[in-house]
Amino acid sequence: MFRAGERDSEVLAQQALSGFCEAYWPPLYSFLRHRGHSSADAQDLVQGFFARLIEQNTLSYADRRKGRLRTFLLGSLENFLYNEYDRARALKRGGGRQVLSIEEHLPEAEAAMLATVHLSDAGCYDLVWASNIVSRAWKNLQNEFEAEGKAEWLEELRPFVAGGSAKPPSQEEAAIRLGVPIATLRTWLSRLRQRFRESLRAEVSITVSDSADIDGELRHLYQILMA
Amino acid sequence: MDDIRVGLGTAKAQSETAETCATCGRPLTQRGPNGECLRCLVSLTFLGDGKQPEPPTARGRLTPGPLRYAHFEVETGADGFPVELGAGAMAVTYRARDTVLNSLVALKAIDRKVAQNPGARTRFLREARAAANIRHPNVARVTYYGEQDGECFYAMELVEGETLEARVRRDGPMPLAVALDVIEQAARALAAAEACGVVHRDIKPSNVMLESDSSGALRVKLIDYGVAKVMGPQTQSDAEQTHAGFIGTPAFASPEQFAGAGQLPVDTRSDIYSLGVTFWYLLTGRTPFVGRTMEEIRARQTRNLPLEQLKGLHLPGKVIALLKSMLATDPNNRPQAARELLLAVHSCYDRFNPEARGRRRRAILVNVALMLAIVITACGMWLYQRFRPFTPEERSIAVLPFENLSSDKENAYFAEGIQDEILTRLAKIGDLKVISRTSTQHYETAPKNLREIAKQLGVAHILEGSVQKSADTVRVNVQLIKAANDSHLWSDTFDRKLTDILSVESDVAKTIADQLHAKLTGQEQEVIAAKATDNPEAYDAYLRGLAYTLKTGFTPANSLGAQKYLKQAVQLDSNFALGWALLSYVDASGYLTQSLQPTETLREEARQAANTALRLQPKLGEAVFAKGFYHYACLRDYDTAVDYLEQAHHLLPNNSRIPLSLAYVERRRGNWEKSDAHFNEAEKLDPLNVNLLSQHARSYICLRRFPEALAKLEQILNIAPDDIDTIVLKARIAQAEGDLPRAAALLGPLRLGADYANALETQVYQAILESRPAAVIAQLKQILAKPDQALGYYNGELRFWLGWAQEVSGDHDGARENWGQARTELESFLKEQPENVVLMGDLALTNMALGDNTAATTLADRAIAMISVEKDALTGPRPLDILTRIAARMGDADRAIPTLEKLLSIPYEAPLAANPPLTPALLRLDPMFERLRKDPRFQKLVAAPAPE
Repeated sequence: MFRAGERDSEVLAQQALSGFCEAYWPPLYSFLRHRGHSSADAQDLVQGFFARLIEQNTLSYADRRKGRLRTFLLGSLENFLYNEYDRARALKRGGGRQVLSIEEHLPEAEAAMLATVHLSDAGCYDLVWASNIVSRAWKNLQNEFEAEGKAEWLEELRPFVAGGSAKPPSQEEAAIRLGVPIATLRTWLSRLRQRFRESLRAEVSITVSDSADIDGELRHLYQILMA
Repeated sequence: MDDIRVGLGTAKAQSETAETCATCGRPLTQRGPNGECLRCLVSLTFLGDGKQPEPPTARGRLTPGPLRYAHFEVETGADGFPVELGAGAMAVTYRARDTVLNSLVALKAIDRKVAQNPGARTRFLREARAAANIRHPNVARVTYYGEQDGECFYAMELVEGETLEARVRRDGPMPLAVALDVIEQAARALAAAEACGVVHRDIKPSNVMLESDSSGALRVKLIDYGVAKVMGPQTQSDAEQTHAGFIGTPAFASPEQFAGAGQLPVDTRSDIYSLGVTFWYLLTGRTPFVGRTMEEIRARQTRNLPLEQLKGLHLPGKVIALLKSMLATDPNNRPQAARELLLAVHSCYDRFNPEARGRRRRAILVNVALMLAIVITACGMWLYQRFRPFTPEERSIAVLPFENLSSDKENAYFAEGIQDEILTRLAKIGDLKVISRTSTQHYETAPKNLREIAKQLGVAHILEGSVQKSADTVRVNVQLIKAANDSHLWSDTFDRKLTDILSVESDVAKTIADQLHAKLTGQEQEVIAAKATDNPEAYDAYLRGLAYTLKTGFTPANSLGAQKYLKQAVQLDSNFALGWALLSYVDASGYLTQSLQPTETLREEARQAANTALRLQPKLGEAVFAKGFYHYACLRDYDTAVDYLEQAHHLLPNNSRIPLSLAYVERRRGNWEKSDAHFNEAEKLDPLNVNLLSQHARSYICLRRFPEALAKLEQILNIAPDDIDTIVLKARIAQAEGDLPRAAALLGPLRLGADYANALETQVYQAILESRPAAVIAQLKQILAKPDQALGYYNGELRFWLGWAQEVSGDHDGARENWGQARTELESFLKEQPENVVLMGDLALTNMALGDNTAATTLADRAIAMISVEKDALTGPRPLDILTRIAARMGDADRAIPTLEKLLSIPYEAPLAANPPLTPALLRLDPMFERLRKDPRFQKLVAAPAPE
C-alpha cells in the first residue's frame, strides 16, 4: 500500500506510515466526534483502528478494486466500530502502541469538527481530510523554504498565493519592497505556485494506495473545499 | 480530557463566517494554520498560471510584442509575452534568437537600476569580457555583450536541459556516482574560470545545468559566470541594499561571503565551498545549514557539519572527507585551487586507483572502437534512410496545434483552420499514419516533451507550426521534427497573400510526405494538390465554420456557429465542394443529435449539400463521407450509409470520423460486437478523442457492461479531468446500479444551467429517486423563468421534469400547471417535427402525467410504429420504455410486465435523460413503477441480481 513501503528500506516505510497516519488521523477523529463519540473515546478508537490496520496489514490489500483509499478507510472504520465498539477493546488493541503523537493535531481536529456541524458525518470526514491535506502541503512548503533560507521571502509572497483576511499589497508594491523588477516577482510567484502544486500532489500521494488515483483525489479535494 | 476546545483554528473561522478572503473574495471558512485561505491554495492546483487574474497590461516593462536587444529578438510565447528562462533579483533571462546567425541564445538583461550605478557598466563589461574568455565545455559561454537604452545585456550559450535543482526536486537525491560526476565536471569548470581569474560567487544547484550530449552522457554546464560580482553589493549604492542584495544565495554562500565586502578575499575557494554545499544537496536533497535568516545560517556554518544527515547513505570515507574539506569554515582548510579539488574528487573514484586506471584505459580503447562502430553504423543508417523508405512505424505523424501569432487573437480560428487543413491533406495519404486533430488539440503549441507526446500518440514525427495573419498577408511557419532525437527534419516559412494560402497547405503536406518517404498514388497527389476554392473570403468563412466543428461536442451553439459560416462560404463560392460537404455533415449531425432543431428543412439542406458536393467532386472523400453520413443520420438507411462510408474510408484512410460513423451504424443495426471493433479502430487513429471515448462508453452502458464503461470514462477524465458529461455518465451508472449516494456525490458539486441538457436532467432524476426534490424545483423554476428559445422543445421537456419533481414533493397543483404548459409547448413542436420520436415520447409521458391515458398510449404506439428495435437497436426500444411507464402508471401490470421483461433482456439507450437502460435497481427506485411494486412478477424482476 504505502508506495515507499514496497521498497526495502524500513525507514522509508516508517516515514510513509507516519505521513499516512498524520493525513488520516484528523478526518477519522473528526468523523467519530461528529458521530457523537467523546473526545477521549474518539482518540482511543482512532489509535485502536490504526493499530489494527497495521497489525492486520489491511492496507496492503486496500487495492484498486476496493475503490479509493479515502472511502475504503471510512468503510473500514465503520466496520471496526461495529466490531470493536467496546472502547476497552479498542484501548487494548491500541495499548502501548502510539502510532502518532496526537497532541499537535487534536486542537485543530476538534475545531474542524465544530466547524462542520452543518455537514453529514461523511461530509465532515471529507472536509477535514481535504483541509488537513492542503494545510499540510502548505506547511511542508514553508518548511522547505525555511530550509533554503527563504522564510522571509516566502512571507512576502504569501498573500499572493495563500490569500487570507488581510488585503494583499499590490504586486508593484511588493516588487518595490523586495527590490526586484515586477517581471521577476511574477516569475517568482509562478514558480511558487508550481511548487505548491507539487507539494500538494506529494501530500495527496501519501493518502492514496494507487498513484493513478492522485488526480482523481485532487479533483475531489478541490470539489470538497469549493463546495 | 475536555470534550470541547473552542476558539482554535477553524472553529474560530466559523464564528467569523462573515469574514471573506481578501484575495479570492470567498468566505474564509476554510483556513490553514496561519489564516491561509485553503480555497485560494487549492485553486492553484487547477488554475494554470496563465489564468491568474492579472491584467496583462500591468506587466511592467514586459509589454507584448517582440523585445529586441541589438540583433537579438526575444522569443514570445503563446500569450505574446517574452519567454523567460529565469529571473533573479537584478536580471531577467530570456530565450532569444540571434537574428544574424539564426540561432537561439539565452539573453540576460540587467535591471536598469544596477546598470545605472556609476561605474557599474564598466565593471560589468570587464566581467563579461573575462567570462567570455572562459572557453570550456562545462561553462555556458558568453557570446555577446551590449548596451541599449541604459540597459546592459549579454547573450550566452543556450543550454537545453534542466538545472540540478529541478532534477533533485523531481527525482530526489542523486546516487553518489552521478553526483561525483557532476562535481567533477563542475570542478573542471572552476579550474577553467580560475585560469581566467574569474570567480563565480553564486554556485548553486539552480546555476548548474544538466544536459545530455549526443551520446546520451551527462554534461554539466555552469551558467551566469561573471554576473554575481558585477551585481554584488559593492556595485550598489547603500540605498539599494535589498533583501536580495546579498551576492549569492545564503544557503549556498561561503562564510567569507557573509563577512562582507573587503573583510576577506572572495576567490575560487569560496566557489569551492558553494560547490561543496551543492554536492551535499545532490546527495541529501537538502543543504547542511538552514536558518530563517542569513544570521542564523551564518551562525550554524561555524558549528560542526550535520554529518548525521549523511547517515544511511553509506558514503565512502573519502567522500565524507572531501565534503568536510570543501565545507571547511576557514578557506585555508579547503582545497586551495580547482585543480586540487579535482584531484580530491578523483581520489574518490575507484576508477582512479592505479589498478582501475589500467582498466579504464582499456575501456577507453574499447570505447573508441565502439564509437567508430557507431559512427560507421550511423553513416550507414543515414545513407540507408536517404535511399530507402522509412518503416511504416516511422511514416507516422501528429500535427500539434499551431500557434496563433496574429496580434488579433480573434484570428485563432485561422491558425486552427490551417493546421486542420494540413492535417486533412496528410490524412489522405494511405501510406502515412496521421493522428486525428481531436487527439492532438489537448497539447500546447511547441511543447517541450515532444518525445513523450510522440509516445502517447504512437507516432515517430511531430509537426509544429505557427500562423500570423495580418490584413491580407499570412505567414506560416512549420517545423517537422523527428521525435526520437528531437531533430528538425525540415522547417520552412511561407509568406503569402491570403489568396495564395491554399497553396501553402498543399506545399507543406507534399514536403512532409517526401520527408517521410511516403509513397503517393497519382490520385493522392492530385487530392493533396487540389485547391478547395479560389475565393479567399469563402475560404475564410469555411475556416471559421470548420473551427466550430472542431470544438468538442455537438452543442447547439457549436452547430449553429458552424452552420452559419459554412452557408456563408458556399454562398460566396457555390463551387466549393469541401464547403458543401462540411455543411452537410454539420446539418446531418445536428439533425441526429438534435443540437439543431431536426426539421424537414434541415434534413433537406443536408441532402442537397451532400449531393452538391458529390456532383462538384465525385472523388472528394469528404463529399462521399457526407453522403454516407446523411443516409445514416437523416434517413436511417444503414445499408446505403455503410456503402458510402466504406468508400470514404478508402479515400480518407486516416480520418477517424469514418470508422466512428461505421461504429454508430453497426450499433444501430444491433451489431454491437462489430461496432465495438470500429470504435477500437477509430481510437487507434484518435486516441485522445473525448467524444469518441464517450460514445464507446455509452455503448458499454447500453450493454449494461458497467465496469468497462467506467474504465472508458476514467480514460476520458484523464484527458479532460472536469468533463461534466463524463462525471454525469458515471453518476448515471451509479443510479442504474442503485447506488444513490455515489451518484449524489458525483452530481452534488455540479452547478448546471439549461445548456447541459442531459446532465441537468440526471440531477433532477437523482432528486426524484432520492425523494428530495426541493432544490431542483427551485433550480428548474429559475431556468424556466427565462427560457432560452434556441433550445426549442427542450424547454417543454424541462417543464415536464419540473412537474414530476413537484409531484414527488406533493405539490400536485403546481405539477398539473407545469404539465399543462409542457403539453402545449411540446404539441406545437410536434407539428413542425412530426417524426421526432423523442418529442413524441416526451409528450406521451406528459399526457400520462395529466391522466390522459388514451393520448399517452396513442403517442407511444405512434412512436413504436415509427422506429423499432429491429430498425434501430440503440434508440428503437425507447418507445417501449415509454409505453411500459405509461402502463405501469395506469396500473396495467399485464401490459407493463412483459414489456419490462423484454427491455431488461436487451441493450438500449433509455429515453429519460438518455439514461442507462432499465435495471432491476432502477425499477426498485423509480416512482413511476410505484403501482407495480406489489405484483409478484414485478418483485421477481426487481430481485434479479444487478448486471455484472
